[in-house]
Amino acid sequence: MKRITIDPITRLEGHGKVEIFCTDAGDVENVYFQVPELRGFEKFLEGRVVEEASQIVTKICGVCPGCHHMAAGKATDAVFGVRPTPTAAKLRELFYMAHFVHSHIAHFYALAAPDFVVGPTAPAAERNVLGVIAKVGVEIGTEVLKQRRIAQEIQALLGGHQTHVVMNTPGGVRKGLTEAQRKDIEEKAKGFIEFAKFSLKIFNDVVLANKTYVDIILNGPYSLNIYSMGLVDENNKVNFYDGKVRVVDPEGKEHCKYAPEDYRNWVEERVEPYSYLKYPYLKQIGWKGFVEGKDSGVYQATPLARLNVADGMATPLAQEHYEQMYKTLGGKPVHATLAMHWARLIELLYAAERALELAQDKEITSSDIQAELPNIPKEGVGIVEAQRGTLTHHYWTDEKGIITKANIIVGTTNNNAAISMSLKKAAQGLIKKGVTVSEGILNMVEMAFRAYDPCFSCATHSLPGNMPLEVVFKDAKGNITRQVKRN
Amino acid sequence: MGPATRGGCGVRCVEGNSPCRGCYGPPPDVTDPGAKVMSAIATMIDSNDANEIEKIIETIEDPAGTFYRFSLPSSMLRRKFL
Repeated sequence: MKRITIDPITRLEGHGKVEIFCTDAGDVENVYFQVPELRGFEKFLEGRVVEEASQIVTKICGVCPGCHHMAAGKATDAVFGVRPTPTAAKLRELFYMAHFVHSHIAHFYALAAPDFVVGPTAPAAERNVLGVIAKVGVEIGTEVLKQRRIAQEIQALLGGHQTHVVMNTPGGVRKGLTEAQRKDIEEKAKGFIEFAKFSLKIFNDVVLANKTYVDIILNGPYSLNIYSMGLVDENNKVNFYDGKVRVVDPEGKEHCKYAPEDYRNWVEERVEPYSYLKYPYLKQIGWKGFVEGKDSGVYQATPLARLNVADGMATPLAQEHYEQMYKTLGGKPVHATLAMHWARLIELLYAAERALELAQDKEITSSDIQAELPNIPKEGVGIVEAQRGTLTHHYWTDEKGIITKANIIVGTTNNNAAISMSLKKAAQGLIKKGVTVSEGILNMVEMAFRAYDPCFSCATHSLPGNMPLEVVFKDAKGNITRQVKRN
Repeated sequence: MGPATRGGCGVRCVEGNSPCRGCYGPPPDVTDPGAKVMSAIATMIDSNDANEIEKIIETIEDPAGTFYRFSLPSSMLRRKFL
């Protein structure tokens, strides 16, 4: 038996490792996807006042702190049994749209684009963000960084700090918006829309116009026939900040639509001995192992899943692209893993359009930003869509509001089983007897997880900050025959 | 936590209309930051009645966790709970 280890895997947030076990003939027998990091935020939230939770959890991750801040804010609202005032809710959502804009830009251009713009098997030295800039030009590269910065600045303005956000209070936000600031954000949001349209054009020109890429997306070893999960508003349109969680089966039929407080009726978590990352699954379907299909509780919560569960997008331009995507890829739901990149860009456009809507909202500059808190704190669940999947925070407190227990199901955690399966499928499709396992082939295995935009620092709630990768090949007796390392 | 915290952050939390949590840690010459915060709070308690003072102090939840929030691992408290 041969063993291939990819450790560390690259162009993701956090650390991960892939172990590929081959038969003597050289076919892939099994693939283990491991996350060897642990942090434990659920534990050290205990004993803290619940109002502080939303500031503690921003430290879970430097990429998506706003998601944890929002989920914690909503869970804290629920603990106090209040809803934020309409203006507070809109300010939060405006912050959150800026958060999606910066994160989706980062993933597409820095993490995903190298595989398409530079090429999946291009030399590793070029297959990175600098290689992308070399291909598309410095001007576009500058624009990418600029739009991302602007999005971060909006977060800093509304949230006090772009990373260590101090925005949410139970039932409100700490700071309102002045008319001058509103106007400024309005202009910036228009810029986001243009940039999102431009990004979709790049995707169209570089990926969709290239027959080989379309073939890889549709017919490559990158497809998983599983359930989809995502947040929808009252019209079943995609929503990132608020609504109910909808799950559809592999054929697109609704499995459930639950309010945040009911999540434990629908989702169960399990552990495997070789990874710190839990494996949630659909409780009513049950865990049947790492298998696809309607009878298996494995689901994905990704940009593509969010589009799969929804009846459409709530903004006009995003809706156009939504329709185009499903038309091109042969109807709903889509199971092609690499289509997540397309879905992510459609979401970027939605976030931009929604940011403009909110910036033009008459209520947004109101000073009514704090609801009254008449109730004794107790227990509450908050759910938002993080860029990387449905994010659930659940806190229990004593009557003084001290947290006694916390449970967090992070975006990427939802996708753990799906990522493992995608990796196995990709490895089985790409590594066969007689095939020389090149670095390029290994990168194409990695493309299977990269589409999910996984964030393992979040998912294991984790310590170290840099990202190494190693692939170890072992023969049938377990002897290491080859090792590929990347740092 | 401002009165017992090292500056240099640009008061971003306060600019965000949020209280300072002391994330930059104590100033260099302070060995017991929690005591310094308590001292700052004591100056604001407008009472000479011991019972009333006690009552006011009791409204502070988790003083050790709050006042030593970013310094507890190296603090004089030696990981004791209050």
